[in-house]
Amino acid sequence: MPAKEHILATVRMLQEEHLDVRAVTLGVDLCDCADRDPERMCRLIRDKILRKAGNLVSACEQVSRKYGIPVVNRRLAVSPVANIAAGHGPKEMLRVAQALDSAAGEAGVDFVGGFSAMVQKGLTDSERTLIDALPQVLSGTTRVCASVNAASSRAGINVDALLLLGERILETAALTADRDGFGCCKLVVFANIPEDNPFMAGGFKGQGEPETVINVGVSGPGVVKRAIERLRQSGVKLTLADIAEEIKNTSFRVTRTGELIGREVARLIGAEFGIVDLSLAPTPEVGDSVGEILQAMGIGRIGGPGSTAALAMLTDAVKKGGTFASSSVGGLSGAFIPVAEDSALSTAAAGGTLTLEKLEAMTSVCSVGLDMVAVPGDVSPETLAAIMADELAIGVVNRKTTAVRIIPVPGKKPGDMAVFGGLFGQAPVMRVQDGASAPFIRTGGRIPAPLQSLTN
Amino acid sequence: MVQNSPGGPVAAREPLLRMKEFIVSVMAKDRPGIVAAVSGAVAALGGNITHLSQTVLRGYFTIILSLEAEDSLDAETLRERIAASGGPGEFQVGAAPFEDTEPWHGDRLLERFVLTARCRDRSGIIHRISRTLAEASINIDDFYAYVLDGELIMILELGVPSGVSVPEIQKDLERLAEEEGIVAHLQHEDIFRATTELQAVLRLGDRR
Repeated sequence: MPAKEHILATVRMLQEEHLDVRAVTLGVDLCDCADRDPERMCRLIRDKILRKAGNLVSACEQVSRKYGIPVVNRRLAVSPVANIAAGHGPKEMLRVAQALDSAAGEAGVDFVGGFSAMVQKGLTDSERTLIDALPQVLSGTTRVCASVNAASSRAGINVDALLLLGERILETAALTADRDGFGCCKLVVFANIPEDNPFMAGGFKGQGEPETVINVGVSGPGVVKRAIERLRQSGVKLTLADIAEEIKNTSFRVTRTGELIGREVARLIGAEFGIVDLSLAPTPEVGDSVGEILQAMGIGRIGGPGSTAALAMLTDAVKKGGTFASSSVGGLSGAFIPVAEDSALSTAAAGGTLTLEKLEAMTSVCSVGLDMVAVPGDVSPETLAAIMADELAIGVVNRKTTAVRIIPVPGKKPGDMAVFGGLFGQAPVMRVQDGASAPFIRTGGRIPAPLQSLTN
Repeated sequence: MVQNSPGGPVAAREPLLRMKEFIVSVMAKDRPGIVAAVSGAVAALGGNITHLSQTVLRGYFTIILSLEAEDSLDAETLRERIAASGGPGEFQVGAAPFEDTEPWHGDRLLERFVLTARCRDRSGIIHRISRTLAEASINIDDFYAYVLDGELIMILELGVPSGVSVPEIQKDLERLAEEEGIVAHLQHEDIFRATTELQAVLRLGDRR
């Protein structure tokens, strides 16, 4: 039997510190469902999802019971719809999304990711159609999540796609104006999109992935925060290296938990096990916040000086502990700072210490980017595209994933509160500098791929 | 420990010709030299200790061991000689011939679970929990409990035979929480091993 103190420490992590498995995501390949007949295609999609994912929820419940660890979200990630539904028009794309929506509902999962397109170097007709269908899909379905990879370190940044997306994001916000533009919460625009990301809204099943694959997202902001607090309360004189070491140890345990659960669920449903995503994913619940970790580290006002350094140290320590724990680490694997979904970040944004510009700086050292950021509803599509271009440039140049999930909130001004509800939380509308960047964005085309040498 | 010595468990060896095995327990107030005294008495009788487990609880020493010795030795002589190796009346010794019995769970596979529980300390709590387990044919392989600030904290390692419904037991334990205020968690051992041992999760199954 493991040592008694280790048993009690693990129980404490589970029962008192909110350790859970944030997402068990089943990737299902749907490329074999492509068909010229949209009705037949939708039927094939539904049949395959129910065949492969029918017992996902019960398997998660069984494993959750066995180990005493909650599995908070069960999700699906499918092949990019731009590929499956290539050759079809926007109406058919919407029908596919509706088929995914209802099949996901029948399988008992809350989100299905994969209404996606890879357009970093250019747009095919199908990908343009998919982007055009986004407003209808994001407003007309409940579970379908969309993602677009609009940049990569090898291809550069597709500014034409960003401009299109800026327009579609505004249309989506308008169609869901009664819910503060909620539809935009289900769309992520990426640079260097990972193919095995278990987290929504950016998850999809990449082409290099097997037929069915389980990817797991662990949680753990609460666990890390409490570990740091305990260390501080121990009375021992600390250096930052001690705090980094504590984060590493905690990350090790959290990662092991995720891998144990993921492998067993994969075995039960006959899927391959893919990866554990190490990302610290907050929820709006107090005590489950990345912002609170920064506060425990000693950053009094999130967004103030020191925030970027603390976040860099946190993210690095999480990666070190996690990669030692498991050889199957992937996805985004960093620390999320989704403003609306993290109560401490949301409060800091409302208090004015966390600005859009500082947030952008912080995303250069963590994942995933400008996430769940609410901006005024009257922002222009060019400004939205320019914000996205800035964020994606950080990813492209630094050869990492960055992304933007931005919500223009119709009728609201800086300082007003946008309420999305549930796991999506709430956030103050942040001030956007009108940089008069339209001429740059309107020039269009592609920002070339950056140099891979002379890296200083 | 003796069981884990290189070359595999000692008990797996065939006993020597005309040898027999005994099981012995000793309890005493703890002090340096008890193991030396007990093992000296065994050695003087020509016995060979094959398994041993010792613990100290609140200043009291206890040991259980098995040994093999010549066929002519009887349990009462063994008990007297071990008792005599301590001071007058110091050691409370039990000795009996070892009987190799069938495992209690027959040919059903055992899975190891860990039960952690805590509640306000009072009479009957351990009985209440152990009765729940016994009624479900779950064996307690290891048990550790202590009182801290008026709260009884218990850690039990359990052998759960195949066919026993763990969710049902978990429901019984949840009822205990409601009726008796006992907060209990029953979890597969692998979650504790995965989060504390260096071996990768992939290897957990190999060592069962």
